[in-house]
Amino acid sequence: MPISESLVRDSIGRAVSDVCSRMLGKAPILRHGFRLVPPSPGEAVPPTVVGAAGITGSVNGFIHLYFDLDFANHCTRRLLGLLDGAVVPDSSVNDAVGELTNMTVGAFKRALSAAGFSCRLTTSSILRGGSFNIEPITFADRHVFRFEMDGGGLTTDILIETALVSRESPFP
Amino acid sequence: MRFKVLTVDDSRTVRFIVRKALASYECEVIEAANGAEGLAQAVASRPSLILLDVVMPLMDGLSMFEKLRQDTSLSSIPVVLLTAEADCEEVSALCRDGARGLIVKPFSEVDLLAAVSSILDLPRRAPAGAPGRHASRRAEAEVSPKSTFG
Repeated sequence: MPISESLVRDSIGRAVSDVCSRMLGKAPILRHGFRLVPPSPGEAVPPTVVGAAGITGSVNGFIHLYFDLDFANHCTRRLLGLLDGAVVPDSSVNDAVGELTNMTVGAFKRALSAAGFSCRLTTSSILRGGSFNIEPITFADRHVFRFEMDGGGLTTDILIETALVSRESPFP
Repeated sequence: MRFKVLTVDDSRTVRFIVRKALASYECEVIEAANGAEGLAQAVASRPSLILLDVVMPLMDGLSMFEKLRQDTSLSSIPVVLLTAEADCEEVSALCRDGARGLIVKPFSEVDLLAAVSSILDLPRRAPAGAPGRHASRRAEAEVSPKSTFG
């Protein structure tokens, strides 16, 4: 049975809201109609911190959380209870984004498990940069959502492997 | 210090949050970044309570918990698990096998204090400038549905 768009949207929406409310003291707002547009060649791309974690089990997939760099710094300060404008080292931001990713993907996978798609988390990782573009592999459905708060935001990019029964060979 | 709390988590962020949450209480917070370090710290410092992350590198929380239970000198130390994997069978088994509590990530400071104060009667630190006025108020925390205890 394929996972519906509404189950993915509701599950990630609740996960992001729950993590931000509990850990940052504020829930972000889902921006409707958002589309992830790959940068043009040579286009200046704002620096981003990306947290990534996978799910594996009766459903397999990978979730990327793109944090605008300023927003990643802002989240780290809120998480650690620091004053606005306090300088936080990159290593602290990476650790904080990694933990927020782990919590968000954990809450997302618990929602999927509760809906009958039992799965487990993989180890999370962090990617930093600006000029990169994450493309889905063949046989993966992509679900992209944008959440905003405090003048910044994060984008969740969810790749879920399509059901094996619907697979066709990509090779002639 | 009458109480020592050992926080074992590979995330410096989580260890910082634990330290900050307990800063108002009369307890010493000790840190370890994985199960192997946590076990060594448990032997060295004999904590009153261990807050144990489940998924960690080198030695995970499940293995550390098992080793604590096998060591008669450490087996009586209460352990509260912290995890985003609360629905997995291994964690459920640990809750049946003697873990004193489970904190599901994400958690608030209230969740954390509820879990700790259900095991330790932590007194608050005396306010600065008022030596001798030792407040003995127990950690006040509402029991939240995010904290479950087996």
